[in-house]
Amino acid sequence: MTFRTRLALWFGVIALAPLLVFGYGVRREMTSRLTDEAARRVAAITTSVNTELAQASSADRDRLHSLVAALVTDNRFRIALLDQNSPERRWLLDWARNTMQLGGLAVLQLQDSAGRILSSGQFRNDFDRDDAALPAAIAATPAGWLVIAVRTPNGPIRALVTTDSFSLGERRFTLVGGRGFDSTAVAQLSRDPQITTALVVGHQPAPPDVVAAITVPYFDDQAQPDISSARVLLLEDLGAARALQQSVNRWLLVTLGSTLFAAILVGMLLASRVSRPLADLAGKTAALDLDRLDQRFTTGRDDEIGTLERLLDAMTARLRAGAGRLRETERLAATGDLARQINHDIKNGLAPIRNVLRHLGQTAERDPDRLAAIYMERRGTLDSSVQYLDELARNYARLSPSLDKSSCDADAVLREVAKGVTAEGVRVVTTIPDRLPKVKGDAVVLRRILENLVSNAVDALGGTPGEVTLAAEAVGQDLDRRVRFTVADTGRGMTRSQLDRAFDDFYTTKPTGTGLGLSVVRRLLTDLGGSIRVETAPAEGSTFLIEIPAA
Amino acid sequence: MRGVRAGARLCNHDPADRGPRAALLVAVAAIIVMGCATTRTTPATGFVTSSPAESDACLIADSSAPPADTVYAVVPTTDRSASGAAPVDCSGRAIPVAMPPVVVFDNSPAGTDLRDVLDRGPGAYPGHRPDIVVTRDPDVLAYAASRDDYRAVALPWDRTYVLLVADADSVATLPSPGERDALARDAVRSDARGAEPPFPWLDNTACPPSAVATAKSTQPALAYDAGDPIARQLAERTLALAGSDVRADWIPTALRRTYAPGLRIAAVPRDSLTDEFATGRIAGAVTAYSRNEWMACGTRAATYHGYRGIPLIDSRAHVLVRRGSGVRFYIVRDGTLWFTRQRLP
Repeated sequence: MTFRTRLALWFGVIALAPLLVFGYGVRREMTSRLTDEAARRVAAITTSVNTELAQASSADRDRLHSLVAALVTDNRFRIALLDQNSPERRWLLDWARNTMQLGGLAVLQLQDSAGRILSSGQFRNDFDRDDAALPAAIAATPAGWLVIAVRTPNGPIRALVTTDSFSLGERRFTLVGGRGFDSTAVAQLSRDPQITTALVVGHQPAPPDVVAAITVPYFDDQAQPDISSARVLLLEDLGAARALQQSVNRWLLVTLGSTLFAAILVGMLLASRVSRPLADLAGKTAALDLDRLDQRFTTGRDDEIGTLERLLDAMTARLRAGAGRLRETERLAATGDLARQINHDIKNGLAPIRNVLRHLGQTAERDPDRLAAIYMERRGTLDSSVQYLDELARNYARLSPSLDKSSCDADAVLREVAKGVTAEGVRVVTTIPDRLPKVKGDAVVLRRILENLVSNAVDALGGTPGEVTLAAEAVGQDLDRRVRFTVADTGRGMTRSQLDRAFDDFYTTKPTGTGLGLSVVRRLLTDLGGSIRVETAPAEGSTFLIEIPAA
Repeated sequence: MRGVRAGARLCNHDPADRGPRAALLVAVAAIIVMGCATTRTTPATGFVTSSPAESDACLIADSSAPPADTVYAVVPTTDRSASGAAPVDCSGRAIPVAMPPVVVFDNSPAGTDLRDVLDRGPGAYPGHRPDIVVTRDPDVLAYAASRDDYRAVALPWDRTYVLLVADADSVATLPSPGERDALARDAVRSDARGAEPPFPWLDNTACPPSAVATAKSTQPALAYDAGDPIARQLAERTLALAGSDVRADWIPTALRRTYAPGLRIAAVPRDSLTDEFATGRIAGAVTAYSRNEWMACGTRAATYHGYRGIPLIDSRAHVLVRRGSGVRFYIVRDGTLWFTRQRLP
């Protein structure tokens, strides 16, 4: 992922995060407050409903008490109640209905001690039926009231009933009465227009949006006697709250989306502005090298990037200065070393000559007649010393070759070098393909490279019989086409430390070596644009692989 | 005769016929304004089968009614008026004609309280207190009894209320006389007695059923004649007995099975009973048949195969005659009532 992308995304995230937190907070706070408010309202209404139910049943119980108080003193009622054959029986049958209407009740039922209905207000002709279970069910409730489904000619109705009893003529009678509890009455239990109430009996499925349920005792001897409770459900139309929540969510999403889009857009623009000079800096920095410290970073900006550019520019300047000093130091060091080596070599070469000349001088002073004989005797020493010096001079002359980068016939050079190997016990194996391409470079330089490597290979054999392999092959394609030369021996090989220093100037493991061979090879290959690689292990020989661009 | 027709229309005493209040008022006004000499009505009352009293062959008394109030003049023919001749009594004497009486029946429009009519006159004619009120309403009768200006006269038992059930096979037995009496005594508030034979409509030979296709009821509804409180009270009692542990073998098993908790009563216009039965929308119905042997078959609401009528109670109306109005009434054998004013009040 690029810096620009990361910057754009991070910008989006950073811009989005506070908005998300804000949106979440608003939504959470809104939901919390609405929920708390609804909970308070529901709790209040629950209390109100319970209170109303209790008050209603209490008021109806008071009515029944009043009725009882009046009835026990009513002679007509007494006669009708105690004498089944009385002409007042018809009046008694009508009594409950008339009294119920006068008392504002929806249910009024007079029963004897056996539970037989003597007069029914809600169902005038339902007399003589055994309904003992109803007062028993009421008596079993803790509050003394319950909701019933009671028969009427037009079908069952629901009522909230309570009971009272009285004695007349040593017989016990029960009054069951109460008010209607139909859907309208249930709905009026709630004073909150946002919360409605409904009655659900037994396992009847509840409607949606139920926020609370109040269990009330229930009795229905005609339908399912096992159902002993019903629920007054508080229903709140949560549509408005849900719509508000959805609206908030929708606007939050829209805000988040637009913010994210804008943030990423702005982030990309900013990233582009920021990353472009950084990319330029990266390009310039990538081009920096010890051999290329001529980059200029300053663009005249006065911001942080300008500061960075100035810092990089200053650092590059310091690097340039340091590199110059380093090169000078290296040059001086190399020159010193070379001078000391040359001095040493020359001293070594001059020492025999000085000795011979001193001997010849002493002979000329003391025995001039033998001067010629002595000279002849010591001439070999002089010649070898001069030859040594000459050789030394030639070797040093190789340190500054002149390059000719025209093409040369690598095949011919390789065969010529192979022919020059005359050491005893050394078998030279040459593997050269028929159509070896020419290489880009000077034939003398190529020969010097190969001669150095072959000389080292022969030296690596240490005078023991061995094999030196010379091979060449074309590698690469088109513009990258190169010729790979291989010089391998079966000699002693190199250790890791030896290999690490093998290309250092003046490093040698040979008693008579100058330590310049591989150093010269590396420099020459660099000049030709080639490369060198070594594969070696102690006692397993070494293989030098060099590649030179094909012509 | 136009007055007679108007009176006959007014007095068409069908419980299901609850014409608009305006029609009643117009008819009463016609009687008053047009000077019709005699008002005739056919309230589907029962006919009198007993012999005329010894003192007056034209007067008979119904043994079930208080003797002092129940005196009928029996008119031998119903066609005198139609033939254009003046109506005569049972002795062939012409029935005196004077100002027509103001007659009100208890099939007044809904919301009309006959007690208000007794007090103030019918509707738009305040001050014209009715001379005759024919009613079965026990509250009106009780109110009239508490006053000195109206005299109550019981008419013959003219209706038998029956329970019709769609599934005739479910009728195991008819209610015993004791059960019928109990129904009359406890279930209805009007003047009633346990239904007494003859029940000509029980015999398909006497009253051949209509050839109407029957349908099994699918609705737990027990119908009653709309506007007839007696039919409603009997339907309520039938419903109560069908769902209770009170022994009532005459309750058809079809109603007991249907009861579940769902059976309920439903007001159905008498004219629609046949359709309701035929389409299976009701499981049974309580309706009234005329006890007049000439009319019994014709008043049956649903008389087709597969249905069964169970006699429940007999009912009769009462006539409230305003004292000092000079009005007499006669009842002919087809049940028609003739009201005349023999002297001006």
